[in-house]
Amino acid sequence: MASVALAVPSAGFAQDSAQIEELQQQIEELRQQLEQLREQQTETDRKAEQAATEAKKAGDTAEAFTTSGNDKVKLSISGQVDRGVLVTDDGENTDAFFVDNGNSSTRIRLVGEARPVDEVKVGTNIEVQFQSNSSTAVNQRDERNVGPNSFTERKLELYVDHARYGRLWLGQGDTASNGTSEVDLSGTSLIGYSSVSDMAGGILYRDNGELSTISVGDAFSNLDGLSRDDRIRYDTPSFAGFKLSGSLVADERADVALRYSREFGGTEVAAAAAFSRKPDDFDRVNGSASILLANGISVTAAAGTEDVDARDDDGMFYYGKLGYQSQFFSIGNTALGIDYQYGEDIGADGDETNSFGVFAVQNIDDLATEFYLGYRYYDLDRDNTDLDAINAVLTGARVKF
Amino acid sequence: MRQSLPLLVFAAALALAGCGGEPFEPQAPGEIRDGPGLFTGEDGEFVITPKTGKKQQRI
Repeated sequence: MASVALAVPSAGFAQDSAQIEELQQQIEELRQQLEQLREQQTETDRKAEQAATEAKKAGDTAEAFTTSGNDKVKLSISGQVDRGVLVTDDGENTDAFFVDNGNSSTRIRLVGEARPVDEVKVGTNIEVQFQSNSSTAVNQRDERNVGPNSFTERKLELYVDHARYGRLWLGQGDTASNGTSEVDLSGTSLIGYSSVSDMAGGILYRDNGELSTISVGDAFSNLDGLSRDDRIRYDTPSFAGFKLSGSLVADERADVALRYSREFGGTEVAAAAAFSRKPDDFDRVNGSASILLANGISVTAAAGTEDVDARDDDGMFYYGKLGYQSQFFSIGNTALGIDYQYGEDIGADGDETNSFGVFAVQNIDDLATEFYLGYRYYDLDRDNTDLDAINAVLTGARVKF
Repeated sequence: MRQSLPLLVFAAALALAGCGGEPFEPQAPGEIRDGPGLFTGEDGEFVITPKTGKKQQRI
């Protein structure tokens, strides 16, 4: 009886031990599963971290390539396309040309700039134009495929700019006097300004009904200094709106210019004057001024004279323009203008020139586009000729891209 | 003296005008105009800056 009593607890103990072992085994299996899960989670976290790092790198790279332009070193690319239809009447025939607007040619520009320190800026400028059928070149004999069919230089220069000491330029670009006859705040210079021959400079006059070799561009000029050239140039900083410039060009050519620009409560004022010299060719004095009132009315004037060594008479011109601009339509500003230019002895001794024009420019802000329409009259009186006046109409669009 | 009087008046007027006002940079005829571009957006130009390992220092 006693042995039975002992056997029963013994059997119960053996059963408990078996259950405990089973439970321990289950716990071990669970621990292993948990360990595997932990390893999997660690691997997942590592991959996620790696992916985030790569994404951040990619983001930084993208930011470096497309920025707001505030970085210390940058290259800016811009340009425009300016095409139009030119219709001319030479007194006998009416012709139509598909042209590049000579007032503001089709071109691209690459400007590189670096700021090694806050006050100093070092820059490079490459600006080239591609004029196919320029309105300054087409004529009654050459109506199409006129031009070099390639890029031609406008500006290939470098500069160092100091906030307190001014700017030094070297290379092909504007001489100090370039543009000093062309200050114009009317908003219509895209289609007409003091360089009146830009609209139809290649068109030939008819002499007694026959085409001559005298073009509009031969007879009209705004005596605008030394234009663009390979030069060294210095500009002072601006003092109360005034800036003095000077440049030297090969063949002892040189010029100096004074510019002024200031805004007074919505009224903009700008002016420029220059003296330029080409030894054995000419001395020029020229200038221009323009004022744009807050109500949109603008007045522009320009004048110049030159002493040409090979001529008896001094060439001269004067120019005036009256303009008005306002936002007639919600799409953008509208600018209107009329102008007149008179010249003497520009193309030849004894020449007398008259030109007047009427212009309209409609801006379309959302498309960065300006539509323009203009008319100009060109009259030339030259000794021993009987030239017919030329009428020209130019319409088209300039798109800044 | 009589011929130079208008020039002197003009210079004096400009000098007086220079005493006030705000800076203003006129746009030269024929140049690419300032402002937005059709493809370049508000800046009016595509801007490229060098790729570097670290973020660019802002001016």
